[in-house]
Amino acid sequence: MKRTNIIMKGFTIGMVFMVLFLCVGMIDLHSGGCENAFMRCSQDPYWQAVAFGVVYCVTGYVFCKKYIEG
Amino acid sequence: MLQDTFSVKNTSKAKVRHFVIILAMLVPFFSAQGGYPEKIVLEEILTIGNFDDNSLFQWVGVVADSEGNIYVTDAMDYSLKKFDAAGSLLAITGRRGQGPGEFTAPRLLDSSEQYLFVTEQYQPVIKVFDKKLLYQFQIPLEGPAGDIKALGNDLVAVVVLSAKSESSLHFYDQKGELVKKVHFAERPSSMLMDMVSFDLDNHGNLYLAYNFADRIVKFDDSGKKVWSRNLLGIKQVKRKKISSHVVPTEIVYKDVALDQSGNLYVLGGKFSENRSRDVYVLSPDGELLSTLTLPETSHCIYIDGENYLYSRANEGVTLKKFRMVFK
Repeated sequence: MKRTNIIMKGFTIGMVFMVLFLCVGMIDLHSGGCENAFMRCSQDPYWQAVAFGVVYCVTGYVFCKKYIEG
Repeated sequence: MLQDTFSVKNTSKAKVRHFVIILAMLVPFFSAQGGYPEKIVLEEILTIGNFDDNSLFQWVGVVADSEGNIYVTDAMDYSLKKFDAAGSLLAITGRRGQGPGEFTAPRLLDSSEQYLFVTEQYQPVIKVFDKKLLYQFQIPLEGPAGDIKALGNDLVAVVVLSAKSESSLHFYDQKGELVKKVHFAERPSSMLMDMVSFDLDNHGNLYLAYNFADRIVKFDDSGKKVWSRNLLGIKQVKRKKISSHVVPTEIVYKDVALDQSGNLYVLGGKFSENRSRDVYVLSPDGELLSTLTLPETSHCIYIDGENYLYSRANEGVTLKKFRMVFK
C-alpha cells in the first residue's frame, strides 16, 4: 500500500514537471518567433548581398514585435 | 469643567469637519488636473472586417479624411483600401510586385489634403496615391521608413533607418529632397534601441516614444528637448545576441498619436498592465492625465480630426473605431 502511494506521488510530481516543462517550452517558442525570423533574415544570402541589408531585417523585426508579440 | 471639555471637544470636531469638507472640495480640483477627466471610456461606433468577410485580412496602417472615409493598408493581400464612413468598401488598389502602385510589404499610412503616403517595409520609398487610390509617384528615401507623418502635399516627415544610424527625423519634399533634419538621439546607441514612433503637432513640436526603452520625449520645433518621461519604471529591456547583432527583445511602447487638443496618446507594449492594450494620455506638458484600455491588443493607435480613436481587433482582421467619452 505504502509502495503504491510512493509510486503515485512520484508519478504525479513527474507529470507536474512535464506539464511545466511543456508550458515553458511553448512560451519560449512563441516569444522567440521574431528573434528566429530576425536570425533567418540576417543570415539570408539575399539580404547579405544588399548594401546594409540588415536595416530591412530590423524593420521586419520591429514590425513583428509590434504586430505579433508584445 | 465637564461642560468646558465637552465644548472644546465639540469645537475640535467642528474644526475637523470643516477641514474634511474643504479637503473634499479640493480633491476633485487637484485630481482633475486642470479640468481633464480621470477616466476615458471607449464607445465602439464602427467595425470593419470580421472572420466571415473579405474586407480585411491583416491591416497595418490606417488614416481617415475629413469626410469620414477610412484608408487602410493590408499586408496580406498587398493592398490599399478605401472605406466610406459607414464601413463599406469603396475602392481597392495594389497587388504583389515592385511596379508602380504595387507593393512588396505595405505598412504605414498617412494623408495630406490631396495624397495618401504608404511606406514599404522592404523598399526605401514612400508610395503616393490620390484619394481615389490612383498611384501618383514615389518618394525615394535613404533607407526603409520606421514611421511617417504627412505635413502637407509636398512635405513628409520620416524616421529613416540607415546604416549611419543617425537617429534623426528627416523631412522630405515630393522629389525626395531632404528639406530638414532633426536629431533626437540623446546619446550614441544602436539602430534598434533608437527605434521610435512619433507625431508632430501644429506648432512643429515633436513627440517620440521609444519602442525598446521606457522613454517618451518632446522636442520643440527648433529641435531642443522640452521634456522626457518614463512612465513604467523600466531601466533596461532584455537583449539577446542574434548572429552578430545585439537585439532588444521586449517592446515598451508601440505607437503614439496626438488628439485635437494636443494631448499625447501612447500605446504601451509588454510592460503595461494590460499589454498592448493600455494607452497612456499625456498633456502637452508631459503630465500623465489618464490611462485608457483598448478592448483588444493592437499594434497601433490612430486618432482622426474629430478625435475618434481607431485600433485593431481579431489580430488584424478587424478595424474598430471608437468615440472617446471623457468622464
